[in-house]
Amino acid sequence: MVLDLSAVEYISSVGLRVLMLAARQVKAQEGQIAIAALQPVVREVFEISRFDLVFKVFADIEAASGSFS
Amino acid sequence: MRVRFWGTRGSIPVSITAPDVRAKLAAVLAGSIGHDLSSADKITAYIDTLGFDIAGTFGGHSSCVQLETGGLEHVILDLGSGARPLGQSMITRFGPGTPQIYHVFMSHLHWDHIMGFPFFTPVYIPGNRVVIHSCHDQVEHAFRRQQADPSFPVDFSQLGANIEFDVMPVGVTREIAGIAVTAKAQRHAGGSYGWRLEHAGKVLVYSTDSEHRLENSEERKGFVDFFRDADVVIFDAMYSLADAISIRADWGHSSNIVGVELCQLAGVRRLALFHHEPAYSDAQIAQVLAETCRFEEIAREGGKPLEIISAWDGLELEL
Repeated sequence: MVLDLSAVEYISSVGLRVLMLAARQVKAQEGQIAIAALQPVVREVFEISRFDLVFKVFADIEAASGSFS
Repeated sequence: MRVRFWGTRGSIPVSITAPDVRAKLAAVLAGSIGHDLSSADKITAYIDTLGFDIAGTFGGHSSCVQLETGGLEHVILDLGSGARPLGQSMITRFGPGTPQIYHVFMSHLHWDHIMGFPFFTPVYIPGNRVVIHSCHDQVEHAFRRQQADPSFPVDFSQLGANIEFDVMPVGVTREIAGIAVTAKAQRHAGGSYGWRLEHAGKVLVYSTDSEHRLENSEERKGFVDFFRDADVVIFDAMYSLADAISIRADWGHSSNIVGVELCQLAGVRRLALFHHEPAYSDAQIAQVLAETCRFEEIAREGGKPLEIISAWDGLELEL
């Protein structure tokens, strides 16, 4: 699963928790999840919250799609 | 009101090590190249340019905070290992022969929050009165058991001070030592309680060992109301948000991100990051502080600025 967040201007802890729950569900179904196209401020929030260490984050959808084995 | 932090570390006391000191010295000396250090004043001026993580340390005592209101009775929040230097300061200040009254408000009874009590010298001095306020009905058992054989050489029954336990109701404001005190239940193993203390128009909130689920609107509103318009909120920011809701979910702690969000919603003036992860170095805590300040800017959205500080052993705040 690739999540295109290019239209997301801000994400709060509640939004990040939703992503974490989604990742758990994907993992439970033996799937993979990747995040694509973060706006600069959202990327900062990912880094401050350490979500960048939990999720695979890519510059665009193509790079994210190509990461799946 | 004045707040003094005696212990700010979470879970277990820690100390910087010889390699830590050596690394600080190396950084100080490397940074001094090219500086004029030919007098004591110039050396002091150079030291003042260094980051707190280099020239100082956040410290390693577990939770203990003192609140001064100018009244005769002393107010303490938790009795972690920071209670030892606090006790010594009180003996130095008042002498052993002048009876004192202490009111202690306990977040909960886990070891890191009670371990300083047997080293809090005032409890050994007859004439002193120590009232331990808690919302846990097992509070007396926890303190007596800690000093029972074979865990400690001095049994609780041998303590010279008059020690009382006061099991308080949750959510009911009481006047104690001239302060309006209210407890709030928090999410933590075995339960923990935050404290809101109001005096002379100033508000301090002490909220440690508390995990948050802000997607629960009722729970969120409860904490926003509890923090409302506080001058200082002392907040458990032990983990990153990612850790707090993944590998350390249900460990009963929170993050800097959630601290900022709650304090912004509540119109708080100053957020003090507290209960630092024991594995974190001074540099890591300083990094968390810098990142938290940046997150506050991002999340502010035109609202009033929230001042962010990272509590350290020895810090004093005037409310």
